Amino acid sequence: MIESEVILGFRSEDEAFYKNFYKTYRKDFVNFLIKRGIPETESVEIFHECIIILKRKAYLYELDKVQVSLKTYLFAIGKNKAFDHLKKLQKSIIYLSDNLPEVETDFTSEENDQELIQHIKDKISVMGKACKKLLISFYLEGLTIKEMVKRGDYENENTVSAQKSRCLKQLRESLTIQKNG
Amino acid sequence: MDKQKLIEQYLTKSLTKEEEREFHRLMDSDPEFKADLNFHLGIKKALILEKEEALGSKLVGYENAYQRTKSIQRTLFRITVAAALIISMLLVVLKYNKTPVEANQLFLSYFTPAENIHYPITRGESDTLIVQAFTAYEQGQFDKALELLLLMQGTGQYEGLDLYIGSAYLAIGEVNNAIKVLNPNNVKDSLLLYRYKWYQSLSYVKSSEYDSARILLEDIVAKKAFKSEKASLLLKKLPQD
Repeated sequence: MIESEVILGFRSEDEAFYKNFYKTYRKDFVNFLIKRGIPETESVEIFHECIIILKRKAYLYELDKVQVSLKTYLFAIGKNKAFDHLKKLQKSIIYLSDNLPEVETDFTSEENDQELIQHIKDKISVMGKACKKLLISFYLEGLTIKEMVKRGDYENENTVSAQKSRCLKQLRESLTIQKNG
Repeated sequence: MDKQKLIEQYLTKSLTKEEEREFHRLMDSDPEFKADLNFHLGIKKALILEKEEALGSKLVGYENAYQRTKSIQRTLFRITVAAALIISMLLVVLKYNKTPVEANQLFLSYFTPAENIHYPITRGESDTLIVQAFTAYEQGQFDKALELLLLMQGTGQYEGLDLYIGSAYLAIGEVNNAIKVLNPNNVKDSLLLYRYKWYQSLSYVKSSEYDSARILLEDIVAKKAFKSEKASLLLKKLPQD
């Protein structure tokens, strides 16, 4: 089980949380990979990839279902990434027995168009701050309209609903224009 | 069932079993629903990618900070080790350099080889081994004397040699051998006993074992025995261990 504070930490931008996480696991994780035949610089890169994967899994509500500790889960992801890394270099990983679970680390478990994601990303980057903030609250923080109002960001539920519709419409239209253009 | 709500529930992984069935039914049968889901999923993943990129840059910064801290810790560790080494070396120098000079000076001020009271060399002495050994001893040729005295002791025919052997060892600086040979516990003759104690106390002085020396010297002084006046003076000059 991963504690809910940790999951919320990964869903947040909290500098203190990430710094503390980095300091806590960096040494052990990098040593764990070095023992499996990966040089330090590459082990650090894999460590970074794993933190990013944890963040992604927090956003996708996958960390909530994890049945092992955070460290075990992190190291399981690390082992997978190390395996992929060495496979790319056509090298073999040094096998050391462990009880780490198998973890899915690919981004798209559902069918999704990478091109579409990239277009949406481009459009969001030029959207107004208000729209972007609303989309983040809704899609990443998982807040309901009621919760957004309760947090004090908006006057009432109607305002949120109206703004959300406007933002999504704007995004859809810009994508349609791009597609047709 | 509200399609929009189904998508929202799907995005937060909170579909009930029934909603999940409906969700899959719509995915298979309703292209518009599927396209709408892909649009929402696309937004979510695009936002995630943006956050991931931002975090990636921060992680590089954290690693740089980690390396800096590690480097500072390494430097501090080296400085600490170097300081500890210097301090240890100083302590060793203080212990083994300063004290022996002091100990040796004290020893030299009080040491004279044990007087030959067992085997006076007379013209009539026919035992050449005794003559050679004690002639060398009295002439200060302690290496030669020691060799001959040990030879005599090996024969088992001579008594009281330990005092001179110990004294010769002391004279040539073999303190540990002197301490062993001059053990007062092996001496039965009460007159000789305090000579052994005196020379053993000098052995301890030479090896800077002042507490051991002090015990013997205090005994000599208390009993007003052999060299008690010198023992009293030496006691006053002994440094603390």
